[in-house]
Amino acid sequence: MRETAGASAVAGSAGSAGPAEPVLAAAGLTRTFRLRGGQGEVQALRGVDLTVDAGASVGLVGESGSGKSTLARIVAGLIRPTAGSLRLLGREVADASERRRRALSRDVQMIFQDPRASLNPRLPIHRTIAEPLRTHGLPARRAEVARLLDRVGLPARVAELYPHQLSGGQCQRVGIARAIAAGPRLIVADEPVSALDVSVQAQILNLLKDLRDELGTAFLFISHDLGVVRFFCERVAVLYLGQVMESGATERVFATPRHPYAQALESAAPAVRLAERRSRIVLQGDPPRPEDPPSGCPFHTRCPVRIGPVCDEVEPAAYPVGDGFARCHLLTPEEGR
Amino acid sequence: MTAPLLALDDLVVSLRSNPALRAVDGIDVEVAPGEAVALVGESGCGKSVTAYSLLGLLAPGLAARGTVTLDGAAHDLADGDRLRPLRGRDVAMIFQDPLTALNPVMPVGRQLEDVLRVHTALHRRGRRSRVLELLERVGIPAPDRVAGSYPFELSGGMRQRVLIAMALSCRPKLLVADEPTTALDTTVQAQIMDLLRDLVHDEDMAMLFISHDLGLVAEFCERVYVMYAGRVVETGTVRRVLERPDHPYTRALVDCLATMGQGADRLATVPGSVPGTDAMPAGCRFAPRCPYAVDACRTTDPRLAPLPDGGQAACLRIGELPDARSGLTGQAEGTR
Amino acid sequence: MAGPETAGPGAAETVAAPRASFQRRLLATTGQKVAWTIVALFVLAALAAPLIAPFDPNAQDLRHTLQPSGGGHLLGTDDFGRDQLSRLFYALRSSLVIGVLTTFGVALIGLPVGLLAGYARGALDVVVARAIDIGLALPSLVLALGLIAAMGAGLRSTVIALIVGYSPYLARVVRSVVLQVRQEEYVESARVTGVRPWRIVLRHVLPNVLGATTVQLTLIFAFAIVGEAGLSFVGLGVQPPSASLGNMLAEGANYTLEAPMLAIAPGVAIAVLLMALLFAGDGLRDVADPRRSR
Ligand SMILES: Nc1ncnc2c1ncn2[C@@H]1O[C@H](COP(=O)(O)OP(=O)(O)OP(=O)(O)O)[C@@H](O)[C@H]1O
Ligand SMILES: Nc1ncnc2c1ncn2[C@@H]1O[C@H](COP(=O)(O)OP(=O)(O)O)[C@@H](O)[C@H]1O
Ligand code: SF4
Ligand code: SF4
Ligand SMILES: [Mg+2]
Ligand SMILES: [Mg+2]
Repeated sequence: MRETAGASAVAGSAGSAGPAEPVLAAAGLTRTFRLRGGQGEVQALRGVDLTVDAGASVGLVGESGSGKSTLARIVAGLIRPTAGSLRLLGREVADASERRRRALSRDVQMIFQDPRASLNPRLPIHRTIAEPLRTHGLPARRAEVARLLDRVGLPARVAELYPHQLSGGQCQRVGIARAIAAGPRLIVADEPVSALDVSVQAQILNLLKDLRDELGTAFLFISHDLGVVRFFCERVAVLYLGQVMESGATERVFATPRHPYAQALESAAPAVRLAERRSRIVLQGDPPRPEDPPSGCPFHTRCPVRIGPVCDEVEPAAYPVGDGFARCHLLTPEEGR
Repeated sequence: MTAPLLALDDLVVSLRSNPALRAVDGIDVEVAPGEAVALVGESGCGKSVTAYSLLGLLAPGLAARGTVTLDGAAHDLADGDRLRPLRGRDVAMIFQDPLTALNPVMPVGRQLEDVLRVHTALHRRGRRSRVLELLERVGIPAPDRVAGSYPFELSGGMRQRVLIAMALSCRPKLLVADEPTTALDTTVQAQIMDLLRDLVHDEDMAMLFISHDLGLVAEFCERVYVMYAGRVVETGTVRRVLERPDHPYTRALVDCLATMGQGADRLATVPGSVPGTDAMPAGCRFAPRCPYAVDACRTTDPRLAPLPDGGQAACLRIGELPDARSGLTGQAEGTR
Repeated sequence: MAGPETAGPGAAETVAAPRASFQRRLLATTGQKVAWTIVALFVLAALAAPLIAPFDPNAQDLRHTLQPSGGGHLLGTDDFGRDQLSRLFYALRSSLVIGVLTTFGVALIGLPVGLLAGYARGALDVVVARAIDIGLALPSLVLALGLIAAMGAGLRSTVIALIVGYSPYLARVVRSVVLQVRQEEYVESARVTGVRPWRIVLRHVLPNVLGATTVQLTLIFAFAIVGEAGLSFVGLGVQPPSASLGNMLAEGANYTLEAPMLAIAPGVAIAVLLMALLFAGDGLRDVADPRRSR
């Protein structure tokens, strides 16, 4: 029967990834988009290295246009990288065929930013939630849908409704139910709470955390809100113009950011605690346009502590910092500058 | 308090199709000259509707009632067109999405000039130089170039700066800012908030700052009105409201934020969501979500009442609630 | 399981009532009520033509040609003395049949071609898109003339000519809607889920495209009726003595001075039907869309 076929396929995929194998390992991941009308190209990702261990949550922060969604879409299989390697559950997928890629879809799921837009407006909720089950040959009975709804904190009668009849928070719960339905090993969440109110954000974040702890799913969690990443992720990577500027344990990166951009980002986040008000680093100027990136260090056009011509000319390498790294000439041993 | 610059008195906004349904249900708001006042609450609480009715910019499906007193002169809010002369001159507004507030097919410099033409007696020359002056004032590095650009050629932050320049063009006494940084990146948001802070300070302009982000409010405003389901449920100084929130809704909001900032293991939440205009609960509108609700809350509609330590709150159980001490008073924290 | 505060909220929230009834949504506005009533009356008149027509539509009475209204002939008689009202009922029959057949044919060809062109990538898309362009570029009257010359004039060849003429138009509209729908997040999320491409097209793309194309389809229905009239003017279309709104209008145009009613009656019928169809089409789109229900 199909059900057993589905189950054995999963067993197979789990077997091929050894216990120490990360669910996601990207190396030198690059994606270039050609601009409309052949007017040049944009490097949305430039040599990204990133690892997500089984069951771990890695945050990805950065400004608009820094390449967060591009990375998410590559990992979820919606687009292909132009260069570099991407291993998911131990399998190289950077140049996998569509069918081989689809075979991984049960293990890699995604939660989208716009909760309502990610649900088909013409399908009642139960059909949306049943879709991954059917697709992967799992039992998709109404009881199963009701169980999933319950698991994300929605009453069973929601199954009969359409997306426009639900609030944004409820839609996102449905999106989460769909993502966990087939039991994935990695969930890519692209700004899953950005479109929601603070109070609803808190509900959804608690829910995601509960599900993660219960199911042991790994997360690649994108947000521009540092507070959210701090709550949810053990590790974080700071993206700027398609490059990882700094990465490491979340607490370390937020407590003692080493890259000037990470420092500015951290200090720009509004602090509610009245005692924590402090002078903040306000960057000058806009982020450069990705289709026209600066030479040398990508951050040099806005960097408040630029050290000299070396920043304009030489792209800084990744220097180890704690258990992560940062890309800044300030970290070079003096004689190396 | 000195005589208020703006006093909004008993504003009611109802749906034309069914006047019994109210998006805003009898609120009073005051802003003193030069003061930065915040309007906070979850989305759908009526913040934007309040702002729009103040400027006579309500959607056609909505009708306002009440009076606004601006600088001593009272105006009836029911007639939006009568408020038009105030727009731009005495009260200016900036919006959440700067792109939709600009004409896409006209260079931004020309749009600024148009505003000046309507509201000032400046001549062509004068207008041009005033445009450049304004753009410079809002921190645009190359005003010449930007004046000739179309909105789509500018970044979100630049567009918001242009809108702010437009709002400043006639030296309004009050700036209404409806979530001006929600669409912007963190670092750009910090730039814009810095700019607004300077402007309020230097131009002696008052500001009604609408936000769902208590963090921004905490850094930026002196007084705050907390709105819930079309009503003001608590008001007072930002300091008091954030440190010792009295109303259960404010407490819940503040807790949400405090736990997020603390790196807590679980976040405090407000269960449920804001009721729509067609599903207002009887009694206290917050009762279905309130952890302190008792039977009386479901039948009696609480009204704003003065609090012992200043400010007001609308809750039947104000004196009986456990002592509130939000997590925001700032005990030292491990990570910093 | 989720903690108490995550389990509670869904339950505490108001959950909207199920969809409004089909009828209520279809007849949402007075304009649509009127439009649907008119369409229904036309269809009834066409169906019941043999019952309600006072005369045989083809019975000639050469002594009473070009009569004004009166004397049992509500709309007068034509140049052969046939009862104009009776002919109008029968004309409605053939015109509506042409409309229905053409619309079905166009949907049958235009929809799959448009879907294919929009959802396929690479060479297939290019080829199909080019074919659509060529179809659009061909002057439809010339095309129709050629086809009818090959097959002989008549209702069948008229319908085929209209289908060939209008299909590329629908295909192009469908393609552009598909290009838009395939970018929607819910289509992407189906791809991430691992749904096979053909299933995505059937389950996610098609229903949303249909909603956007119902208006086009009613337009094509209306165009078909007008198109047949156009063909009638050059002597093609439905052949006399069978009546169609088109050939009645074309014949009547010869007697605008002597018997203006001959052109006015079918002309007004076409105009009213057209307007009603366009209005009704809007309603149809709303019916298909759960978001527009309240
Ligand atoms: N399909 C595409 N065609 C051309 N350029 C693209 C495409 N997708 C993304 N880009 C470009 O790649 C860069 C990175 O985009 P991406 O969407 O990954 O940013 P992001 O970090 O997710 O931003 P945001 O916070 O706004 O979501 C941007 O400059 C964007 O304009
Ligand atoms: N044009 C409109 N027609 C009907 N209801 C509206 C309209 N605009 C807003 N509302 C309703 O008014 C209430 C308050 O909306 P709004 O002021 O936009 O909230 P906020 O700005 O606090 O997020 C909501 O319940 C909303 O649904
Ligand atoms: S390399 Fe230079 S410009 Fe870049 S972040 Fe470091 S100091 Fe700043
Ligand atoms: S009146 Fe009752 S329900 Fe309303 S906020 Fe106070 S305690 Fe809660
Ligand atoms: Mg993105
Ligand atoms: Mg709003």
